[in-house]
Amino acid sequence: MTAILKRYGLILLFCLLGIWIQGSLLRVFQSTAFFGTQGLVANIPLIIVIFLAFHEVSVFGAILAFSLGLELDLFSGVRIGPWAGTLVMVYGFIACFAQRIYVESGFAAMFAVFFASLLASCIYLIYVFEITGLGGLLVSRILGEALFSALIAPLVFRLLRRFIYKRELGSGRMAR
Amino acid sequence: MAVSSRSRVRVAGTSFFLFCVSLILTAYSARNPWTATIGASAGSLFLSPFQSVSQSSQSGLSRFWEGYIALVNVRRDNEQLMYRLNALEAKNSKLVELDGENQRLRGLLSVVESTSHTGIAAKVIGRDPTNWNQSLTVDTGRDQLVKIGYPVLEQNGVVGQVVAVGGSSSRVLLITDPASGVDAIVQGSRARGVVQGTGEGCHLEYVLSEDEVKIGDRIITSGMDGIFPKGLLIGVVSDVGPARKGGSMFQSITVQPTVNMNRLENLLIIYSLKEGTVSSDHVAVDSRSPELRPADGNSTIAVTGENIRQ
Repeated sequence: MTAILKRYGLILLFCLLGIWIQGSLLRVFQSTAFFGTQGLVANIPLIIVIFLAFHEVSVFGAILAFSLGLELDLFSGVRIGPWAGTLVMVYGFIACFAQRIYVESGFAAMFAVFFASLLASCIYLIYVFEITGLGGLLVSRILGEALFSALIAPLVFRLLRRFIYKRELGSGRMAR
Repeated sequence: MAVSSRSRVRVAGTSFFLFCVSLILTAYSARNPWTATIGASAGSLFLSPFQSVSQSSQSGLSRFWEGYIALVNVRRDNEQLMYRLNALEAKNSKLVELDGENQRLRGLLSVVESTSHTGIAAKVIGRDPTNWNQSLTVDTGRDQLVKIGYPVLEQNGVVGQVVAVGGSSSRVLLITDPASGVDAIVQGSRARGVVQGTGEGCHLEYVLSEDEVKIGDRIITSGMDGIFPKGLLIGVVSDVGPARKGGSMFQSITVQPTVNMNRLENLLIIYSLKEGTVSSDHVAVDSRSPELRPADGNSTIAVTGENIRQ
């Protein structure tokens, strides 16, 4: 139980770090270099949730996903709930098929994150549509976020494996 | 990771339950914005250290990016503009040079026209490297029918004479060189003398004491030395000293050359009078032949009385 809580805390911190990175380094880089002032960034919490869906299929994993979404909501400070619901839905959906999907290679991780990101955007659109309508949300934005998330997914997966699931991987608990 | 179906159901159920919770939270926060504010405030309270770090780092990164890295394009544009500016300045400078050269050549043509001598334009390509000789090198030589002893003019007057000829270059001894001597007369009084160089200027030597010479008189070539045609302007009398001590029969006269020897660029080499009538035909013929014309078309110009009138 202590190990689970420790891992829980580590992942939350890792997510916080991801939010910080995507809000600073990636935002600055992408907004100024490629997409003008609007910019597009990868969704690092979403990548973490996808990783969890493949490696942490448990009730705690679902709670973690919900917590990460809530963290993202709190960080954005606009609404409480949309990202929490989105991430937990993505987690649940992927977790149901995690046993049949292998994401060991970087390309597999990229594909998984790309399509999961599209799914997350679709779910998030439901929230946004309910609240503010679809104005301003374009397909290009959805595809762009999915693309950028997919691009850095192998790196995030590798970091999570190395620093958080190191022991489990070493002891053979993590089969995939 | 082996996951039982029961576990998957629990995960799915938990996820669905949490999804419902999120819907409730979303709906509640949408209808009660203050709750979202409270949530944001709580989140900010917890995350404020990270937010401040994030914001400061974002600002720093923004400044760094916009101030340095994103300026790559600006630098490239600046370099391109600077390159264009330099090219245009070089072009403008070249045009100014061409304009000046054009004016100087027109001056030379006017000299040729006024004296009805034939000649060839030459460009100064070098000067004597020492301080002891007053000479320079021009870009015309034996290939352009230049010979030793040919007089060299500028639009303002006499420059010197050719003392050495190479294939495509010649050495010109300036009249300011101590070794130079030009038979001359004072234009007003017709007093005769020899203009000799002093290294810095010229002296008119061998002018008799009884000849009347005053400051401002023009000194011209007499044509008696067999080198310079008659009537070419050499300089102006700038000083007339008293007769030399010891009952000398000659005056001491300083002549200021009308040509600025330090700013010579385009010169005119005159074919000698004796050969002029012959060589003018040669030049007239040769000026139509390609070998007399330079490749760039402007460094050397064959000048004849015929094409001047054209």
